[in-house]
Parts: sequence; C-alpha cells; structure tokens
Amino acid sequence: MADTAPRWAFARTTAFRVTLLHLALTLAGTALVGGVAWWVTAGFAVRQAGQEVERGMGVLLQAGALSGARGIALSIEARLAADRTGQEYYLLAAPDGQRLAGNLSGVSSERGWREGSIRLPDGTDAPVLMYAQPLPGGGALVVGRDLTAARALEQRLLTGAGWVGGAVLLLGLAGGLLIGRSVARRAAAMDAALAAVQGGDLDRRLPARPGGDEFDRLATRINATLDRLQALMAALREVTDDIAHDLRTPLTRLRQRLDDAARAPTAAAIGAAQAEADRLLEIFAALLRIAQVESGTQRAGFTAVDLSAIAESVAEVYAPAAEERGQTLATAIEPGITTTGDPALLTQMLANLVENAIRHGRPGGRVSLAVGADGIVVADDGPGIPEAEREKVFRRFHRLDASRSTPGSGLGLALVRAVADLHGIGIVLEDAAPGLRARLALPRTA
Amino acid sequence: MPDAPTRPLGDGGTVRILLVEDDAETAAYVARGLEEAGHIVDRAADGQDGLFLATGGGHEVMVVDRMLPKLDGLSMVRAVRAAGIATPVIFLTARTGVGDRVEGLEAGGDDYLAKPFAFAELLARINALARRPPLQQEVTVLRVADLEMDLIRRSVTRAGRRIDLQPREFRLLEYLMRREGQVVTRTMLLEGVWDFHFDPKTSVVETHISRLRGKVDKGFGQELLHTVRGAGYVIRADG
Repeated sequence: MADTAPRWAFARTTAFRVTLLHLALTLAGTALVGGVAWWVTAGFAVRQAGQEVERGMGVLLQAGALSGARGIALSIEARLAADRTGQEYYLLAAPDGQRLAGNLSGVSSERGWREGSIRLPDGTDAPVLMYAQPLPGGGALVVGRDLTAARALEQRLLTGAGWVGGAVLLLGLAGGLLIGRSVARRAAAMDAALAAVQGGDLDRRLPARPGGDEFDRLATRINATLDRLQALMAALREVTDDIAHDLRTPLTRLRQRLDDAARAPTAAAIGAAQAEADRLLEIFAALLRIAQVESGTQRAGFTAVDLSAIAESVAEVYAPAAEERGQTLATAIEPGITTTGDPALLTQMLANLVENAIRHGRPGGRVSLAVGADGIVVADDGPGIPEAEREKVFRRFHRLDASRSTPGSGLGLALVRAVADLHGIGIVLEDAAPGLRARLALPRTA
Repeated sequence: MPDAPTRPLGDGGTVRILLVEDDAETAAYVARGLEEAGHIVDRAADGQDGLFLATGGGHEVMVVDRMLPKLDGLSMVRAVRAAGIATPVIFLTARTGVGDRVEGLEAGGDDYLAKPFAFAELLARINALARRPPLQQEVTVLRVADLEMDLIRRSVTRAGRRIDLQPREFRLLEYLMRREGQVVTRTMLLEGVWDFHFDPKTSVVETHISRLRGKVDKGFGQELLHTVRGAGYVIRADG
C-alpha cells in the first residue's frame, strides 16, 4: 500500500490521467450518439411540423389567390374542423390586426419562422412552430403546428442522455480511481524495493508474478538487471580480494629479493629483483587487459576475422614449443571458418588455450587443435581438471593446487573467458579421458 | 661477441631523437639511456613544445607519450604529419588498450610501445625506425656474409649450399636479415613475424630462433645469428 504516498497521490498517476482522458472521449462519443438520436427523432418531428406548416401555408395562399380573404377563412374553418388532434393553428388577420379567422391570437404577423407558446383552453401551454406571411392586400396569414410531442421526445432524450452521461462519468471516475490507486500502489512497491537496493540491500527484488502484465514484465526485467548488478558487485569484490591476496605474494618476494640485493648487490640478485618486478607488472597488465575486455568497449572495432588463419598461425608458433616437450601438436583446421571480432584478442585467446594445453599436457603426449563449423576444440592428454574445478579455473588467479608450483599467473584462462564472452563464444571444459578438452561454440550469426 | 658488454646494443651511428614525455622521471631515465647509447636527445614536456620542436626538424625519430598536457600525443603527431613531416614516431602509453595501438598507428605513428617497457626494447625499436630503408628501394636479394636470401625465388643458401626453411622460418630470417646489424627484440619478432600483439608465457620465440639457428648456423664455421642478452637477437657477419 502507498503508506508513504499522500492520500490523493493516485490523482497524479499516469493511469488516472489516462482514465480522465478516456472518460472525456467516452462522454464526447455519448454526446455524438445522443445528437444523432435527436436528429432522427425529435429533430425529425420538428422538421416534419415545419413541412406541414409550409404545405398548409401554400394551400391557403392558393385559396386566397382564387377567392380572396374569404376563401382563406373558409379553408381555415374547414381545416380546423377536420383537425381532430388539435395540432393545427391558423390566424388570418385583417390589415388592422383584427382576427378574421383561425384559432391563434396575439402573435406577430411579421414574415418569418418563430416558435411560440400558446395557452390552451385547459390552461396548459403548448409549444407551437409558426410561419407568418403578410398578404398582398394587407393583413397577414399565420400557420402553426403543435410541437408538444417533439418537445416531449426531446425532453426524454435529454433525460436519458443525462442518466447515461452521469453513469459513464461515475463508472469512469471510479475505474480511474481504482486503477490509479492500484498503479500507485504497485509503483510504490517497486519504488520501495529499488530504494532498498539503492540503500545497499542488494538481495531485495521487486514483486513480480510470472507471466503477468507489463508491470510484472518490467519488474522481471529490473530484477534481472539487479541480478546482474549483484553478480558484478560480487565479481568486483572477488577480484579485489584476489588482487589483494595474489599480489601480496610477488610483492613480498620482490621485497625479499631487494633485501638480498641490499646485502650483496650482485648482478644476479638485482636481476632476480628485476624479474620479480617484471612479473608484477605483467600481472597488472593482464588484469587491466581482462578488465578492458570485460568492459566490452572493443566491440566497436569488430571486423570479420578468419579463425582458420589465426588457428594455423597459432599452431605454427607453438608447434616447436610442443616439440621441445616431446609433444605433438596435431591440427585439424577447416579453412574459411570466420567470425566477427577483434583479431588480436581472438589470437591471444587461441594462443592461451594452446599454451595451456602444452603446459599442462603430458610430456611426450599429444595436443590437438581443431577448428570447424561447430567451433574450436583444444585438447591435451594431461591430468585434466576435476569436474568441480572446471568452472573455477576461469576465475582470476584461480590455480589448481597441482599447478601451484608451475609458472603462470592464473590469469590466462580468465582472459580466455573474457574474450570468449566478448565475442559471444560459449566455452566449456570437458574430460578428454585422459586430459582436458576445451570446446568453444561460435555464435550463430557469425 | 667480445664487444657485447661495452656496447650491448650499439649498432653504431648517432640518432637525433625528440622525446616528448611529461613524466620527468621517465623522461630522464629514457634520455640518459639513449645518450649512453650514443644518441642525441631533445626533450619536451608537453605536446605544444613537442610540436614546436618537431616542426623545427632535424630529428630522425620521435618518441611521444600519448598522455601529454596542453596537446595530447595523438593530436600532436597528427599536427606534425599535417605539417608534412614524415619523421618516424614511436608512441609510448600507459594504456594497455587493444584498440589504442591501431588508433596510434592511424594518427601517423610508426610503432607503439606500452608502459612499462624494457629500455632495451625502446632502444631496439628506435634503431629499427632510424635505419629503416626508404620504401621505394626494392631489394630482391638479402645478403649477410655468405648467407643469401632470394626474395623472389623464396630460396636461402649459405656458402652456396641450399637451406630448406618453412614459410614462417623464412619470414623470421627475412625479418632479421632486413635489419642486419640491428638488435631485434622478442616483442618485435612476435609482432612483425607472427602478428602476436601480446607476450606469450611460453618461450616460443626462443624455440623458433634456436631451430632457425640449427638450420642457418649449424655446420658452418661462422655464427651469424647472435643472442644479445637482455635485449634480443641480431644477425651480423662480424662476431
């Protein structure tokens, strides 16, 4: 609940504003429908009355043309006698304004349409539509039609429209209120969760129902982003710890070598200290490179890369190194395998993998490098890596206990993983029985 | 190699060098080393002074730090190139960025060296750039003593005897022979021969050199392919 939000906070919500707009449009639509209804009913009745007035006027004027005022009076008498419903009104006025015939009195005889109210014998007033026409010899003729029925219909339409409009307004407002409050409540819940995350509670997640509405989808997306953020924070902490721990060792060694050199400044002692400093610089360079690759900024410079050519080149470079260890470097490289990426990084990734296989492979054994449409496979027949350790070797500074004594910074595979991730290459380590097999799956779009 | 300790990298000849570096300590260290190697060094501590000195001309190589006050190294070199000065440029950088190298080369740099670097590496690269032959001078045969490389027939002979080389061994030997008498570092070989822009942990260069040596020097009286300790390799006729 919006416990922190003011009571009328929903009025400022988007949902409420959308509801108001929707309401206005619905009312306009209702008004349009009402207008059309009036046009075809009450409006029609009024128009019909008008036509009847015109027709009556025409007939009477004709009678007047044939037999003068007398003819008109006779016609009026005849028509009034025939009008059983009492809807027709006439007035034939003499030039001095005196009524010569008809049932109207006290109306203007100026030419034109007008609508008036006639006091009926029973004391009620009836609306009447009239047309007045001055006559050639002076005097005037007025013809009218009762509009009671049309006006009543109009009244009923208006009443109905009022009810409908009121109901629409009420329902819309109530709906808007409800939706607005619900949206405000959910937004407040999301806001509260995000505020908690911002405050440092990285485990906090937004409420999200699976397969829910757009709010749930948004919340799911934000939760995924928070997961990523949490993972990055964890990785950062891990890296910081690793660096603190793993740099202390070479720094301590450097310190010892310098102590040695201070006691006996021989070229060998100074050289040893220099070598230790170089190693530290190398570690820093490798760490920075991994961090840079992980930041993903290289993607801008991606080009089409011939993986087959890179693999051939790497194999050529490392074949003598393998031979020195009595190993054979067997290649099965399909020509023309390409991907999109950074050639320098991909070269280093392959080189690191091959180097790793040579270094950890069995002396006198076999190292293989295969490149095909399915991807890249690098395998050795050394001791391999226990299954539980296979994911961990990609972490910075992670070194298997067995290989602690051999040279290497524990950053080679971390860089491999970073480069693979950057290029969308999936990498898995498998048991080659015996040995280790690294399998790299190229992205499909390549 | 009797002269190795006294002139470890001296391949003769004084080179006039413009060093543009804002870090006083690095600048002093580099300048001292270069002067010890017999070169003449002009120093500038920012890009503007660097540009001013560079346009004065007379330098054979420029060493330019990328991060400089007033005018950064890239812009400085672009300006130098725009002024029609073709003096070779080596960029120095504290950045290990992969794209930085390309950026530097595109701005008109000829070589690129990431900090921290071994002084021997910088010296070798300066020597390589200062002695770079004009491009139009197309050679077809390279000769070092009795070792002969025919670039058209892709064949190598020593004392008239044919030596069979793998394509990459041929490129390695060609790279060395084109720089006869100059020290070539591991990194230069990795970049120039194998297009590797990183430092492999395994001693791949050493292995390749020792194999090449086995083919080119073994069984012949005079050794041509020498190792310069702490620096790299050099091919030359005299010991």
